[in-house]
Amino acid sequence: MKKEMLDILCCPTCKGDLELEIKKEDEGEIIEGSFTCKKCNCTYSIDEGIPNLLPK
Amino acid sequence: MHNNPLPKYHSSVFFVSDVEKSKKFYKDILGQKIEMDFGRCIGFSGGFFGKILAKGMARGHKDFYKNAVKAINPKNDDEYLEIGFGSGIFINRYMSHVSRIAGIDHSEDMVKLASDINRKLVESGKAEFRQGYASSLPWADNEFTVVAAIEVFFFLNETEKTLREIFRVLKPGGKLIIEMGFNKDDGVDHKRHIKKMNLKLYSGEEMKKLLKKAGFNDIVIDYYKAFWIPIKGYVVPKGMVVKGIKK
Repeated sequence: MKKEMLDILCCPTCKGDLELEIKKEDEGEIIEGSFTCKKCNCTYSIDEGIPNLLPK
Repeated sequence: MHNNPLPKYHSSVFFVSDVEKSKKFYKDILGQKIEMDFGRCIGFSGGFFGKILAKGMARGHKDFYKNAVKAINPKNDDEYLEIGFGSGIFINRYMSHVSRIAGIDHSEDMVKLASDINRKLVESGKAEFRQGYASSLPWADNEFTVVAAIEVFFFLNETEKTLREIFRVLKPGGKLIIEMGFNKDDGVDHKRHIKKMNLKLYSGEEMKKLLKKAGFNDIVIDYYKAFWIPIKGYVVPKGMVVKGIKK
């Protein structure tokens, strides 16, 4: 997943803004990490470069 | 002549019950890169807006299906035909109890996947999935009690011919259900989608006229609140379900 995706994505649960935490990055691609919603505090993991944005 | 230049990502799986199977299908069979995981559904590469849209559809197909099945109201003795069955998951999930299932899709890949997902139904001879075009249905007159097109009609080019064909294969008293998450009444600006995916959108009134022209009666247009996707500024659209009866 590219970092720029953060600009357009919002929380699938409450539509709040997301905060990105990067654990592993490779040539601009985020491999491992997570999104946390600034509004409802839900977290969504990024595994193998794929963000899991299932509403909670 | 069949003229259906469908976008690459349309011939795809947006929503399957078995995500691992779906991912494997994309990676190993279609060689596509998976971009997003929405739990029961995945997004995949196919152009930036394609990705966004596919991701939205992944989540949204649940809403589409729920509203479609409500309109279809499938009975055990129904003989069901689906136009553009895609993954075949709708049939697997909601239609397996009907007496006969048939489907047509322009994509060979989807014929393979739908046959795999519905293997038991195919092996027992209850279901058949064919590659072909909606404007030329390979079935005789008066064969089905229900024909459905779920999230497909706006991709079709030969709509009048297709509706005439559906009318032909329906039994007297049979019904047609067309579900469209994108339509002219949904309150969303679809310019980009229309350009990118060659969509043809219809209003409820236009659908009424089209169905009437093809011979359908008792035409009803219903709306429902469709999905939303986790993209900033996304407007929740209004989905449409069209119902017509062959009298």
